[in-house]
Amino acid sequence: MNQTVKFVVVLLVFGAVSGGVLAFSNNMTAPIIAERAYEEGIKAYKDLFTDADEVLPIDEEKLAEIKSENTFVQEVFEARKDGEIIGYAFKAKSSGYGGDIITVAAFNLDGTVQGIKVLQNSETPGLGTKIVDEPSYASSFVGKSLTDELVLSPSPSGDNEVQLISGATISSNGVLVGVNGARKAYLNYFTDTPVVEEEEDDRGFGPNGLVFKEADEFVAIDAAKLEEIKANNRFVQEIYEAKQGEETKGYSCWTVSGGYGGEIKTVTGISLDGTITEIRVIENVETPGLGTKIVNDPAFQESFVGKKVANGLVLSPSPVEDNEVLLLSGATVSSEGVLYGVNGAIDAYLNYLSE
Amino acid sequence: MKTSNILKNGLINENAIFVQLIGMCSVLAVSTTAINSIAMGISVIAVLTCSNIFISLLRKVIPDEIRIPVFVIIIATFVTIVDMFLNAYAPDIYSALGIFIPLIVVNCLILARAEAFAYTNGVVASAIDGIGMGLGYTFAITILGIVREILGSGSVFGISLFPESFQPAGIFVAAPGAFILLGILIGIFRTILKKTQAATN
Amino acid sequence: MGNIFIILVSTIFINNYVFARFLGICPFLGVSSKMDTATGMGVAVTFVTTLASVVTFIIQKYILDIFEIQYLQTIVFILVIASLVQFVEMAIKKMSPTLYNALGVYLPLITTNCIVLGVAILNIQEGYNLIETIASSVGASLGFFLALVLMAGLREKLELADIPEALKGFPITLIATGLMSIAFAGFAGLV
Repeated sequence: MNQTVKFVVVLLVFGAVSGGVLAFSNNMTAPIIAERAYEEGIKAYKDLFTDADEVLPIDEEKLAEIKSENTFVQEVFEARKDGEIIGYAFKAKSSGYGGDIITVAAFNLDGTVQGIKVLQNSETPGLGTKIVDEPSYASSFVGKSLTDELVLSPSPSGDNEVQLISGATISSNGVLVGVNGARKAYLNYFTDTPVVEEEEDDRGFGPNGLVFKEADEFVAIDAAKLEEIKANNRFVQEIYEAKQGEETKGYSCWTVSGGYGGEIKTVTGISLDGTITEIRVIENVETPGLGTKIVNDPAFQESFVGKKVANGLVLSPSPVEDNEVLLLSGATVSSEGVLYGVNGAIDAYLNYLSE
Repeated sequence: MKTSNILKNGLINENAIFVQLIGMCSVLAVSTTAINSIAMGISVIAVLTCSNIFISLLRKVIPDEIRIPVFVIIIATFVTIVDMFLNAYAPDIYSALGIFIPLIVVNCLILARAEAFAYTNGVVASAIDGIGMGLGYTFAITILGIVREILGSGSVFGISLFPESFQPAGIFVAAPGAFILLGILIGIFRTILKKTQAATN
Repeated sequence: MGNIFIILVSTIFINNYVFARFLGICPFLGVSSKMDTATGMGVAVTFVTTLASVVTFIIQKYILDIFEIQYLQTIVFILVIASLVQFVEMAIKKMSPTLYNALGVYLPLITTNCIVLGVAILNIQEGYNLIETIASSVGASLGFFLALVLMAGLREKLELADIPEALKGFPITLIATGLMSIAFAGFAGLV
């Protein structure tokens, strides 16, 4: 028993001395390490925003809010020149092939990428590390538009395409995931164009379920009637009865109309009380950043909700009347394109389906 | 034991890597470049020498039955100190060596020397043994690092040796190359050792 | 669930701890010459690694992180591992003296098997939760086990081959390991 006690005491003494020595070392080195990490971060931001004379962290509360819903963002800084904000820099953490990748992404106020820099990685030397060694990777991000998610391409040409490094696919994508995560945070918290998440009707009805949330069943109308409607209405494609139990509550009508860049496909929900339930633009090829506001700016589709269909709808920059919907500035033709489709659905309803 | 004998022992006759074949994991992983190899070697020399000195100093108060855990505590303490100082003062080396810095604590070489030499010898001799074994380790890992860097990246110590157009064989910087080259190096070293030993007999 | 599968495939094949991460080399070279010692070692390592990872995970989460003494990680982890190995050694001695004799000096050497400490540290670095930690540890040990068994089979054949004197023994084993490593590199890109 004595022996064991002696052993335990010896071990504890050694342990305690060791702990003490290490605590002392830690006190000496930890501040230096923390300071260096901070400086490295600031330096990276300053290197990217060459015009900036100041790089400052954003408000702590806002950062906490961003981090609570965005798992990639670690830090956010604002870059200033002469006191004015010229852009934002995000430090993002994502997974690569060999471990975590830390990337700094700098975005300009005009919605383009100022630049990126990979700060830390554990990728395979000579292969994955090309994301750092090959300048073509980082430079392929410069000037790209943030309107749409960035994607990889072996020969990037589009506004949202960046370089896919051959032999380093997973590493290239690892950085991209972090940058796209920063993009989301930037758009959602620092611009007027938040990222619109792809809506999915969780009851499995597709777009029908999205425009007519109260219905629990959708039945295609009689085929002969649909043919009759289509013969006289060039917009209508499909029509469904929206039912709640045994009762018909209204109709969900699919239309195709002409927009600026091509066809626009819209689904319009019309309730039997003569009002629009909701609309959804489900396909379009409008100009990114301008025409695509018909999808990205929630105010547009929302302006249709509850409007009266009796006389058809009209566009207005400030829609107040119950037949007015939002005319998006800078997206006139696209707004009109959607309106043709919706009015086409209203026409079909008023002439063939309502009492 | 004479000082020069102790040193020679560590460097050649009982070279950790080429002869004893211990402490290999770090050698294979870290030797991607010559600089990394030397950095690792110096770290190992530091830990090995310090732990040898302290274990030898305290050998009378360390009970035999619990000597291994005590060795481990002492070695781990020095490894952690090296880890902190590298992180603070040489961050590039710190991230290059990565997880292999804390793994120095399980480098069989250090525990083996503690057990085989420091626990039963004087402080000065133990210190020299630590330096000698450490140098042997450093010698081996650096040669491997130089060869791998030349063949795999076309440079040595970061200085490019070949024109831009030369495409180095990346495989040597990767895992397979490490194994194969180390195997060949051990074969070469052993042959040389045998021939010199035969010559002196 | 899919994540667990990815972790397992990754640790056993793609980032095999012996062929890709260079951990566990010493016991790998020492024990892989015979199939039955290889098997015994593989099982012992799996048990110690998984148990050690769970214990170190708990200690990291509830002691080191809470008290902000992460710098004590190395020393605490290795002590936990050393104790576990001691415990496993006593257990094997009681349960199967033959296995105990067969493993010989390699059993206490599990303490210095880089895999055990390496996995424990990597689990923390990768930020795994408890389930992922267990998956990663089991995967790493199985990968080690796989490497041992493959090597044992290979070395039994190499014994009979005609090899230059200088390369006999460990050098040729290392070269063979290198070739095996090339084969395993083919798994990259699987997930």
